[in-house]
Amino acid sequence: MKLEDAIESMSRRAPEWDDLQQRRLLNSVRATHRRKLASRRKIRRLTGGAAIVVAALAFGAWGLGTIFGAEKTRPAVLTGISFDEVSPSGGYGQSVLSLADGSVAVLDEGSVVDTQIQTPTLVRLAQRRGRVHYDVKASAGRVFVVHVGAYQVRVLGTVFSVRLTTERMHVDVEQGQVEIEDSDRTLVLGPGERVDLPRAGSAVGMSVAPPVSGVQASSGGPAPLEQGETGDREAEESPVPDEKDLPSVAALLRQADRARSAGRLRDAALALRTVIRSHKRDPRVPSASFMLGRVERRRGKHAAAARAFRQTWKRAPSSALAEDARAEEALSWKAAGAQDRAIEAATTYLELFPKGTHRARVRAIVR
Amino acid sequence: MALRLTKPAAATDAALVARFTDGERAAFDELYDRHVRYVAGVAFRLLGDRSELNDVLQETFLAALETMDKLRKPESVRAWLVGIAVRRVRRRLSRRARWSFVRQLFGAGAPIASHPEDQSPADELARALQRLAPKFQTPWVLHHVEGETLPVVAQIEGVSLATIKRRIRRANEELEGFLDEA
Repeated sequence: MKLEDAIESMSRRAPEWDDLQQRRLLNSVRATHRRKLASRRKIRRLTGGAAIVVAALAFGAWGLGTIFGAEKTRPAVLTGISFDEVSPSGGYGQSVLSLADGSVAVLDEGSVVDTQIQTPTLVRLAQRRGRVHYDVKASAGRVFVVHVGAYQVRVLGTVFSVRLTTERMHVDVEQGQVEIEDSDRTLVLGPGERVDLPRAGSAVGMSVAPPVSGVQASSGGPAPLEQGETGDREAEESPVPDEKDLPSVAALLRQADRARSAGRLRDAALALRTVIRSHKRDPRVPSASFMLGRVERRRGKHAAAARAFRQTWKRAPSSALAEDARAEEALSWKAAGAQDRAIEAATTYLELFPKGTHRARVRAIVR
Repeated sequence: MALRLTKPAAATDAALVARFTDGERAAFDELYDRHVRYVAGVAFRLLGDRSELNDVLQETFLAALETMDKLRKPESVRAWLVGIAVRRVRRRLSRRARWSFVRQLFGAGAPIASHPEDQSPADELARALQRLAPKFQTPWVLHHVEGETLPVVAQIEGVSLATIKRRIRRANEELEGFLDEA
């Protein structure tokens, strides 16, 4: 055996890796870090509490009055919140805002958030300045809205952050979905997606793909629409071009990414469908199916999204994507109004992943 | 006009570390995206398989998130990250070696015999490397397989240049013996 050849061969070995895996790992690191911070705060509170009790016993009655009557510092940047809900975190000068519904907002130093409304059905915050990371607890029937500049950011069981500067707003979604709306347009962001917008909004309207109203197919055409379907079957069933005439999978995926970034969602969907139908055996097809599901959801085509997510886990039942795809399928059927399919998919997810990442959102479907 | 998804402007590693220290969370995300695949590749080749790769990466970047504000050489973020990963890998390699010894002691888990012609040169090299103690294996792989210079390997391992040279020399001698046996 030539050692140089062996070294060369070994240096070319690489683990399987994709963008979704990369994003999931970062999400997991962030989630673990938050839990550790929360645990350290709890320990500090407990130790602090124990120290106070010991000191009180040591100094007697007038010591008790002094310690418990001491003025606590209220962070000037948070308004409308009682002291008990706010605590300093362990790092970076951050503060943590704990809301009544279990949601948490972590404020970077200098950030400003007002709580305007907190009821069982509505939480409304207004972010005035800086960067805030929101971890919103899923709660059926409760609306969670953050007003930022000219926008409303509306969420459901989601982890996302908003950074506000004097002129721009940046939104970064880690899990779930957020809907960003100004006076005349709406944008939906999914996991791993980011957007950068002018703080004051724009006079030019956002491009929104209007949902297609349900249309009955005529005989000889595509299969009749099922519950929750919209009239987008034709795009899914158009003829497949010859593989030799097609760009490579890598080129198609790049094309889809560029189209998606530019807001040309229909083009992105077309490129992804071409990958899925024309390169069936390529190992990237499950990732392409998953991406197609997200694109279709952004287009408002929830039934098509559900079908794409279903194809993802069917093609790669043991992959890292399978759990996410099953959850997204259930949520998409729900959004499409296909209640029976949504409940079936949600029930299967909960059986397969009783401790799954998405169990809170999926359980809301079957309740 | 469609909304555009944008990325932050490119910045040096040192600039990103400075921004992170100032409280900008996205700076860590960008450093992560920049280096995670490289770190994953190094860890994968050191471990020899994928089984513990995610755990190593999770621990590595969690440690990075918790201690990056104390990093003394922000321009060497990649070497620092690899160093964290290498220490995590070495713990696992040591544990594997202990369990392998215990299994062999009790006659369990004997390696499955395979025809020599079925092994690629990389497989043969990997088996020989597994017989080295982790403190000799990792610097040898970092230098010869990953192509890192000796000063960088010393920085990653957290030892002197002279120590690294000794360990790599010792690894070379032992590997030659193992490969000759094979």
